Amino acid sequence: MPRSSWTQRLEPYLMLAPAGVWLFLLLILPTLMIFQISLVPDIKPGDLVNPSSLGNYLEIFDPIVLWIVARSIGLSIATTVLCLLLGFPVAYWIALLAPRRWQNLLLLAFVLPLWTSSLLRSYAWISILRPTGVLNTILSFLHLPTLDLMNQLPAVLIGMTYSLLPYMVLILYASLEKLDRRLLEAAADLGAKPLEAFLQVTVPQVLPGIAAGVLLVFINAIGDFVNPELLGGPSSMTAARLVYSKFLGASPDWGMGSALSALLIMFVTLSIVLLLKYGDKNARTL
Amino acid sequence: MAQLLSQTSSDTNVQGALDIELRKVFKVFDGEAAVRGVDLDIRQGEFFSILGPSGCGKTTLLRLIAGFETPTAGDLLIRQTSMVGIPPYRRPVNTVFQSYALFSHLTVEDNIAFGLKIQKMSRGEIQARVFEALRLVQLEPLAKRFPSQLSGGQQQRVALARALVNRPTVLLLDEPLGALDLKLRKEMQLELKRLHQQLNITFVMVTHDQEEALTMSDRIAVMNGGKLEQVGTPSQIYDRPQSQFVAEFIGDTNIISGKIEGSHPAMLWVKSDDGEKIQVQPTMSGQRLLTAGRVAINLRPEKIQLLRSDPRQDGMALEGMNCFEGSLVSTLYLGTHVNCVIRLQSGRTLLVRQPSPETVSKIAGPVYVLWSPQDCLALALPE
Repeated sequence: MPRSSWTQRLEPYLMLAPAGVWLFLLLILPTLMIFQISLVPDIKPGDLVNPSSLGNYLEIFDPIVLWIVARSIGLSIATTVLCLLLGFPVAYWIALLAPRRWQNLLLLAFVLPLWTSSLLRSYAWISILRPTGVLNTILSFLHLPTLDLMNQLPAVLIGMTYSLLPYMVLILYASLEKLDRRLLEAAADLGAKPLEAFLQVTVPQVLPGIAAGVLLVFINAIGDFVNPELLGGPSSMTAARLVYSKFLGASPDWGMGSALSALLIMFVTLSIVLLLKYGDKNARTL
Repeated sequence: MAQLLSQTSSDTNVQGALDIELRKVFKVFDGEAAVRGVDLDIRQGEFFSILGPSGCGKTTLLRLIAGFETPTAGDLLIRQTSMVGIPPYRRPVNTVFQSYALFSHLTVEDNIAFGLKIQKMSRGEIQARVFEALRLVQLEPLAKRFPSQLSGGQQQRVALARALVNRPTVLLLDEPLGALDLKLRKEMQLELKRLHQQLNITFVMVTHDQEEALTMSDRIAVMNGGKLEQVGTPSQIYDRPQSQFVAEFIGDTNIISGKIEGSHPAMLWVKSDDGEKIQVQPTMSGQRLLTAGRVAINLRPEKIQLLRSDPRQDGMALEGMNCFEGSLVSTLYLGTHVNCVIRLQSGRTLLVRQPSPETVSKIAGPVYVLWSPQDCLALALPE
């Protein structure tokens, strides 16, 4: 029986519907609500007035808040750079140098930490980094000066890098694994030493993968709440923690919390759009 | 127009001098020998082909010259300098890869300029040379395109220009035309010949296509099982194959096995396994002149004449010729010629090539095959 054209046209929508409803109810609707709350000054829990002013947004331009936002961005950039620097050699080694039969096992080993709760991983880092923890026990055993990293930014950076490194490795691996090795032979044939071939052929060839990895790690880093909260102590306040405290802390301010959330959402969306555009330009040449 | 590109190589081009020398080269992969003791000289300025079936080691041989593989044993010299331990980026050769291996993130222009930029050449000179190379392969209008925007034939030209722009001592070509369709193949064959004549540098091409090797090369090395079967000019390879493998790999051939019954410096008398008495002009088989033992007679289908009446009755002078009666079994029309299968009275079948379909179409009844002892070749068979 021939299918009528309207069922054919409806088919993709029907297939998208379950995920679409899910996304609408749990992502788009709450986001819109946050935007609405962000426009109401002095909102108290349970009380929704008609949106009226940008006052909450002006509160963000308080030097203290701006400093927290800047710290968040700086921390996320540092995490992303660390993940790229640590992840690239690993992904390169697994994709291009390791024996083929080991590749899946090695990747699995890298993804394994993702199977445990992020909370658990943070607690594990606490037991390593705290003043009487594993790290300092080893250092003092070796008669080296002990390190006080806990409840400071370095601990947060370590925790976040550890959490996000597997994502970077996975994405870079996927990109490097597709790299045509004959291109490296062609580069060598044309006189390029290994480092020149790496910089002029390998890196440009996997640039879309690098962009994707950087984007994913950066977005996750800026939204990370667990690592700064558990490892950072009071001194390393980040935007995500500030949002949390504005909703659930001792002195709630939903309006300002929502405004900060809204700005973060817009910032992340903007970076995605920019990187997608950049990534696209790269993809076109492939 | 090619002067700029060929300057360095033509200056030092001496007739008969060697560009590449392989001395007892072996290459073993995981206990499996891909190249087994190859000795080979490639002369300056020649178009040299390495021909063989897939898996014979021909690509490994090329990769050894390019430096992507290191010999397990033996020595390899380019212009009298040993290349053992020299990485590919320090060798005076450039390669056109089988599937071109163009840099997809660079434009045609930047692909061609890659080698020159690595050499830190001045911008002006790079521009001049790239322009020259683009003209050489007739791709000027496509300089700003990316490889993905080009057809297979155009990509092939970019790969050629990218290699030639560096003015290599030797240009290595790995199955350069393998990915092209028949018409484009023929065009590029002419193009490659033209470039070779114009640039006067040594071309070493790997191919599995015997026709391509025969039409394009000055000399051919036929490879089998990691060894060289024969090295020679196309006509030496085709008309005087030194081994059964070469005879069968290059073109169609009839093989008649038999035993030498009598010999004379100018003639061998062979009795085939089916009883025919065949006269063969003796030739060197390997290193020795055959006088006795079992042989395989090789007879090219185009060397056989097909006659409709018995030439002995027609009074033709048949002294020293081979002539047998048979019947036409089938014909295969191939455009420029016809392949006929003739069954001799002994039951043996022969492939005979006839130039025009008309002469064959009306044949009924007995036919006669005729060939001269000079046109067939006896190769020794192991006892």
